[in-house]
Formats: sequence, structure tokens, C-alpha cells
Amino acid sequence: MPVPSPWDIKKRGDRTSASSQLGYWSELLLSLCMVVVGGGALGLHIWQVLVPEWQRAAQLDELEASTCKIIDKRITSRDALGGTEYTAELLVEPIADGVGLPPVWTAEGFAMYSPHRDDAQGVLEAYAVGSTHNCWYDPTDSDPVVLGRRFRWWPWPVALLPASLLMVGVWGVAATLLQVTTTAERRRFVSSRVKSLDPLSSASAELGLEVSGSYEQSGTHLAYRLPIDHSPNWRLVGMIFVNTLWNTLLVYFGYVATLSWLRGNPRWLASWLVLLLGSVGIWLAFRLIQELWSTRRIGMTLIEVSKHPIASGETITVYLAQTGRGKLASLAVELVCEEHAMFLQGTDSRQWIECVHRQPVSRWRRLTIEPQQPFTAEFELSLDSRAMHTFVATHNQVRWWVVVRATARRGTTFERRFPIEVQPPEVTAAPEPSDTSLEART
Amino acid sequence: MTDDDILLTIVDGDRKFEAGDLLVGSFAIPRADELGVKRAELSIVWHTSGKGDEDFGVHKLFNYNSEGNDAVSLGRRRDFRTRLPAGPLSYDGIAVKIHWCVRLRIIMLRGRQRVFDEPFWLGHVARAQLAQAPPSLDDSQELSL
Repeated sequence: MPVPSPWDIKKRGDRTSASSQLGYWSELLLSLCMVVVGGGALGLHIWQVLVPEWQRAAQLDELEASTCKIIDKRITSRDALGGTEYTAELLVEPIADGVGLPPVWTAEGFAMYSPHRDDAQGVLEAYAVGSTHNCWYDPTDSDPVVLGRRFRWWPWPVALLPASLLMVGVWGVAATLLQVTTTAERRRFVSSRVKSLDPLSSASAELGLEVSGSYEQSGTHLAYRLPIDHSPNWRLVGMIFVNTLWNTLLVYFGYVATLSWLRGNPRWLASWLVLLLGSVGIWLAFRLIQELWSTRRIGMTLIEVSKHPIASGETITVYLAQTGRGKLASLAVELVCEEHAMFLQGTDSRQWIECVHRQPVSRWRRLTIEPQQPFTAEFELSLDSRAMHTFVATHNQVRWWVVVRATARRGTTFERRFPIEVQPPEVTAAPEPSDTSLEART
Repeated sequence: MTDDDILLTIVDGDRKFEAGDLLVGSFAIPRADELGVKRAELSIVWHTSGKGDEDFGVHKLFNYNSEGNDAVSLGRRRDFRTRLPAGPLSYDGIAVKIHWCVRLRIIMLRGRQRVFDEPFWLGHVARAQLAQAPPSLDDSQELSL
């Protein structure tokens, strides 16, 4: 039995050192704080920013367009929470039908309060005394004169920040109250009943008996073709990507270094980098060529089965097709069962895998595969009647695979895995007893 | 509250069931009033143990209140029965184990809770053993077709 490394040893026993009630109340308090802070900030933002913004937009719609003359300009200040804030103000004279109206001081539509006096000064520099500009005014009231009808867009997305905090808080309060007022069994029972209403979720998936629905593709020789677990093409694509990236950098540094040598001003650091990157680049290119050659030589592996999913105790027919070119020292098919246990260690998610069943199904030796003539074989696969079925839960899984392993004459080996679903023996459907819980007649 | 305050039984003596079998049992809390029992929840659950974090599922849930319109006397023996599902079957693995049990959760005054489990075995899956490493596929080995 392999000795696990200290990193893989899971801390056992009770994992909480404090009272669960204290935990619940702390979570509730934290969520309530979020509700208060988020709700307060959102209310303040709506009241102080969004409502005035909306009112101003509505007000501008009622104003009349005109021109106005700048008579004077100044900087005013106010005391705010963060200290003194400054804004630019202009004394403007609206002109209606060629007649000047009484001048008014305004900051509407062109200036905002800023903690920096320079900002206000910068705004004022754009408006020269005596110049005329477009403006809007209220014919019934000379006071609101607006220079510019620009609307600020940022107050609206900013509202999402306190709103999200409020939502997280409300969700936290609801979840904590649900935890305090209901039991774990009731929550799980209700959750499974809700899932059963989902037409896309099957009852067997809820019981952890179903892996996925990706077995619909029909085979060409037998009824079902098993999907491969990890396609070797993805590995090839990854290697091509890394090769391209690395060697592009190499070409760039090579260009810089060569240029520096040609100009008689050699850059030693770039030159040494080229040598270093170059050696790794050559190794990467060699591995890529090796992989491309291996893929071309080994080819595709195809597994088809006569029945899927299979049940414990059943025997099915399996069809194997191996393409490629060259000679294989051996080729073997096995049925493998693995336990996968996932657990958290600190903040890391870890997985423990144990192989609990390895059943040789078929083996061949000294094969020669021609490009036009793939190796094919048909054989039977029997599953023990006491074998465990496929089980897939959130943290614990029991999975079955048809594994094809081969060794080339030059010693290169490859392994391809095809997930297969094993179900428990079929149960004759019997009705649920109606009197499921009753007081004993004693 | 101690184990002696609860009478929780499964009728089948050896507690071994097949999928689809009828599970019959009963429970009683003779001193329910004295102990301040407000509510009892009886569930048929499966849960995992082993290396991984725990997963669990609930096959059936019965609720008993000692107060309100649907109040029952928890002091008297109450029978329960349910048909067991197709899976997951009980499993004694290396890293993953699956257990079935009848779980009685008792909720008392001020929210205090006690849980009592009565385990049983579902199905007849063989106990798991570590598989041997895959055999070498050397050319020198004698291989059979």
C-alpha cells in the first residue's frame, strides 16, 4: 500500500472548535451588517445623487434654449465631509429675443464641486468674460440658467455597489435563518424534491447513480460509442500554443541581440537570454515533433459497447478499433474502478484516488497496424454481480473506466480511458406503502 | 437525554435489505413530555465517510410535532415503513464508504437537538480491496489472446 505524503493526510475528527449556534448568530450578525450598510448607502445614493440627477433632467426638459453672455466669473467653496470643496461659477446674462435678462450666478451644467481649487480654476479658464455661449433658461423664473445639457452616466452603475452588498446581506440573512429554523435532513429532502420537478434532472442523478447524459452517440459497429476521457488532441494544442509563444519571444530577443551586434554595440544580457531561451525552445520543439509523430503513429482508439449503462452481473460485447501506423509490442484492455474522494485542506481542494478494481479483459502482442487497416477486435466484458455501481456525489465518487494501454516496440506507452456507467441491479417497481407512518395499535 | 430515552428499532433482525425491499421500524420517546421534546424528525438517509468531505441524501422524511393542529403523542410507539430505493447501495470502500441509517432527530426546548442513528445495510456490494498495479506490457511477457 502506498504511503501517503503528509500533504495528502486529511485532518480527521471534529473540524469545528466553536459552537454551531455561535457560528449561526455570527453569520446572521455579519449579514445584518451588510444589509444595514448596503441599504443605508443605497438609500443615501438614491436620495442625494440619483433623485437630484433625475429632477435636474426633468427640469432641463422644461427650459428654453437661448444664448447668454459671460459677465463675470468666480470660485466658491463649501464645507463638506471630506473638507472644503470648490466649484466654478459664472455670472451670465441670458439673451431672449435680443433683449438681455437680469444676470444670475450659475454653476449648472458645466461645473462640479471638487476638493481641489485647481479643478475649479481649470473650468473657469474655458469661459472668457464677454464671450457668448449656448444656455437654457426658464422664461417664468430667471434664476435657473444652465450652460450645457450633459448628463452624468456614472451615478447609475455606482448604485450597483451598495445594491450588491444589500443583496448579499439579504441572501445571507435568509440562508442563516433557514439553517437555524430547519434541520439538515429537511433542507436536503426539500432540495431533492425541488430537483425532481426539474424535467432535465433525473431521479437516478439525484441518487448519485448517473454520470452524465453524454452517451447518446451511437456506434457504427455496436450500439454505443464510449467517449474518451481526455482527448490527446488537447495536449497537442497546448504544446503548440506554448511552443508558439516561447519561440516568438525567442525570435524577438534574437532580433534585438543580432541588431545590437551588427551596430557594433553588443547587448550581452539579450545575447545570453537568447542562448538560454533558445536551448529551452529547441527542447520544446523537439517534444512537439515527438508528440506529433507519436499521435500520427498511435492514431485513434475507438471503444463501442453493445449496452450502456451496464448493470452489475451483466456481460456485454465490446468492440475495439485502433488506428495508426507501426508496430505495437502489446495492447491490453482493462476494466478499472476508482474511488475519488475530494476534501478541503485549509483553503486547498484536494482529491484522493484509490483504484479498487482492475480486471484484465483482453490482451494482444506484436501487432502491426497499417494506416489503411486499423486493428479491430470484438470481445466480451463481464461484471461481477457484487460490483459497486457508479456513484457520483459532490465530494465522493466511484467511477468505472474501460482502459486501453499499449506499448510501442520502442518502449513508448500510452493509456486511453473511456468512462463507462455501471448501474445497480434493476429493481422491480413496487408501490410505496400508503401507511408510511402511523401510531402503533398497542 | 441519553440513548436509553429513545426506543428506535428496525424490524428486520439482521438489518440487511435489498433495493426495493420494505423497511419497517418503530420509535418512541417514553419521557417526551418530561424531556421537553417539541418535535421529532425521522428520516431514512444515506451518507458517506472516508477520505472525502461528507455527502448525504434523504430518501424519506417523517415529521412529528408535539404541539399544534397536527400534534401527536411522541411518548407512544409509532411505526414507520418505506420502500428502499435502487441506490446508492451500501459500500465499504477504501477512500469512499456509503452508509444507510434510520435517523431520529429530536428537537427540544430552546432549540437543543439530539440525533440517534440506527444503521442498516442496503444491497450486497462486495467489500473493496486495493487493486494491484497494472501488469507490465513488456514484449518478453507471455500474453494470452
